[in-house]
Amino acid sequence: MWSELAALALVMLVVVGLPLSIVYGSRDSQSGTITLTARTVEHGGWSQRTIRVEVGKPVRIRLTSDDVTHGFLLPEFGIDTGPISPGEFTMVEFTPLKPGVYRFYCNILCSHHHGAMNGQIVVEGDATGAVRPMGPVVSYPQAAQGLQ
Amino acid sequence: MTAPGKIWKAVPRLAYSWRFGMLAVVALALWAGSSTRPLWATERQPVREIVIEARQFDYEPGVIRVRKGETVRLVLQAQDVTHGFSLDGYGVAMEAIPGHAESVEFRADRVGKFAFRCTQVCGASHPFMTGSLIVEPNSPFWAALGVMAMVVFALFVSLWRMRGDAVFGGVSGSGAGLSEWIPRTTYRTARTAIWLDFLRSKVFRWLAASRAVQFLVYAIALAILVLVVTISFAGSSVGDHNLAIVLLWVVWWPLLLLVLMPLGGRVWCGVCPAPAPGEWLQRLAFLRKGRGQFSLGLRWPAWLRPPLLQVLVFAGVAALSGVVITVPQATGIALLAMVGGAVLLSLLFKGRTFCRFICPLGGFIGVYSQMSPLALRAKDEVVCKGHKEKGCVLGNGCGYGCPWLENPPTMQHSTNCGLCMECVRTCDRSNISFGLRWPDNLAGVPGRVEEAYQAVVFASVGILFTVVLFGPWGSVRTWLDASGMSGRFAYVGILAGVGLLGVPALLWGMSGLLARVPGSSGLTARTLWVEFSHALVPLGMAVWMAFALAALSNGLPHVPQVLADPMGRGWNLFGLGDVSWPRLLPGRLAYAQTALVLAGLVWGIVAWRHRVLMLVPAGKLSAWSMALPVGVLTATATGLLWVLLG
Repeated sequence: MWSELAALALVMLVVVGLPLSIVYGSRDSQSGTITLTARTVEHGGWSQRTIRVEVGKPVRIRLTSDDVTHGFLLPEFGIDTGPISPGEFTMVEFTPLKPGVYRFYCNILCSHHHGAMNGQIVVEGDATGAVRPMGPVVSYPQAAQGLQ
Repeated sequence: MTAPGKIWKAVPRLAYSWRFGMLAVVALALWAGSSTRPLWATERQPVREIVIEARQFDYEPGVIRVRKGETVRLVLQAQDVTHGFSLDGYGVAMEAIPGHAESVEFRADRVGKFAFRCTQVCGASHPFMTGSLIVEPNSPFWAALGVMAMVVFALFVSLWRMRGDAVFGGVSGSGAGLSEWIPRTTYRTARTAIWLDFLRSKVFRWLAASRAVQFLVYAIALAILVLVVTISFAGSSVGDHNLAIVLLWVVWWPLLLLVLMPLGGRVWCGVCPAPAPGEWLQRLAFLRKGRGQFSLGLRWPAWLRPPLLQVLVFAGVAALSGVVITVPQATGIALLAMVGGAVLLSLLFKGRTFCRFICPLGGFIGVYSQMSPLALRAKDEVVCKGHKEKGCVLGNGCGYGCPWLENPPTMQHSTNCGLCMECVRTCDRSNISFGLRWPDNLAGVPGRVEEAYQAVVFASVGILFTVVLFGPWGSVRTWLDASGMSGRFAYVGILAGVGLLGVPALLWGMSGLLARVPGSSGLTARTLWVEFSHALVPLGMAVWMAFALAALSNGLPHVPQVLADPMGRGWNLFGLGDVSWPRLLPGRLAYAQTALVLAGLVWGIVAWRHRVLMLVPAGKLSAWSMALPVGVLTATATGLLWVLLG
């Protein structure tokens, strides 16, 4: 009888415990990193159309694509990642020093509605600390990110 | 005189036909060689520029023909989204984003057909985006045709001359002369006996009969299944980057087709985790023999026993295969549906009705298990006849009655035996043997209509897949995509019309013709159809193996990538993300596939001759009843070679 119960426990562990631990254990643990997934406009466009960040704080965006090759162009910060390949990750870092609304675009033809594939980064906070007009711009095209 | 002696006698005849065949090959090679550019024509040629337009999921032109020695510049223009281009055998690759053409230049110095494929994920059907470059003269194709003609000719002549004898092993001591008909029963006892019985080993018997071992195997397999299903939903939504897709279609599927099925027949069904939860629930027991049952215990209706339902489910999955093997969520849903279906049927019916009557893979593996030397059979019919308790059918204190609803004492086909080892547990006379013997296809077991129909359907669907995936019609491949509804309907129509009806009907016509030929010794069209369908099994299996080999070859580079990042989060576990595995046999894949097709053809011809010999006394065997089926098989193989190499 005990062996039957042990077997049942093992089965429950496999059927219930395993998926839960996989899903729970693989959550994005990097706080402060924004994952932005590109999809064609027909399938929802950017996973976040509006990204809110705070002025003066470094912003890290991890870019990936779900379907076809896309691009990421954020002109005000001088960022152009080049091709973002499906299933692969590209890291982008910058520090906004001035509040405002900055648009970003897909700049690699991805579908009929490619032109509508855009979003915005809203930099919030007051600009008291913003003496310089623009912060340092760092772009890592195609940088694969290791396990943190 | 014994059979081996006769085989030796036949060798000189074989040699003559080989000589003839080689002459034919040399002639063909000379003919092909004469059309090449002469050696002295070395003056610099202008570069041949070819513009390739790439769009989801097709190249235009999809087939490029150049001549050996030409310098070729390929210009890639992406029309809709970013596409890649990688040419097998030449190591040429490029990527183009829309609006920016890319080009490569190379000298076409290797003849033959070389596949090129998209290297940049461009949507769900990206894996099917291929085309081919043919460098003429395409002598590998003609050489393959020559080899095939030679082999078929040699085989035909030698089989025809040995028509009274049992080829390959035969019946020793039966005293059958060259023109005598060997009675079927003699064949059966000589060929269906298991000659290496694993159950004789005490250790193996314990392993096979132990419920604890079986439970452990199921538990491990179930854990892998749960992992695959979870990741199919929670992992990357890009097929090539999803562990579930890669594990299932690059690792498991080729393993099943290339190793498990040829060697072990239904051995996968013995460890498959999909029906395990349903079975545990049905028995309310894991490690011991349960006493009660948690199931309505209904009997499967008799009118549903023919495998028509299973064939329809198979055709349905085949019609959706383009989506199921590329979209992770679709794979997950398909797997969940199988587990769910198995649980549901376990609660309604007795035994493993899902595996036996519904599972699309169940019928497939079952039919092709006749190619495998592994089988489970009752040892001695007499012992079973004298044993009234029939624990193997009805169940007893040691185990359940056959869950696959087979009757072990009289079982002659491996088709419906799931190798679950239940009868090894229930048989208290140790009258079950499990081991190696002649594959059913050659063993002199009479064919049945059910298997015959399934065999034709599976072979024609496999051939259809080969034509679609490796053939020159790129636009047909775009039908596999989930988005185009009209294309999908056309595809389903072709699949049903050709696979389920057209080819079986065509073969029926051939059998009717054969039945009217004088000398067919009164065999009915039905019998001929059944036996020819069984002779089609090896070629069908070869086609599926060729398909699995392509999946393995093309998918291999993805394996370390998905292991490094199983959840699609951008991880690099164990540094596996930096490991690059090459593709298997790039540029030579088609030759390996050709070898499989040729082996299937040879096996098919031998099987046909063997099967028809058991039905017709040798003296009455008409040349037509050899020539027509051999012709049909050879024509099919020729078509396949053309698709693969031509």
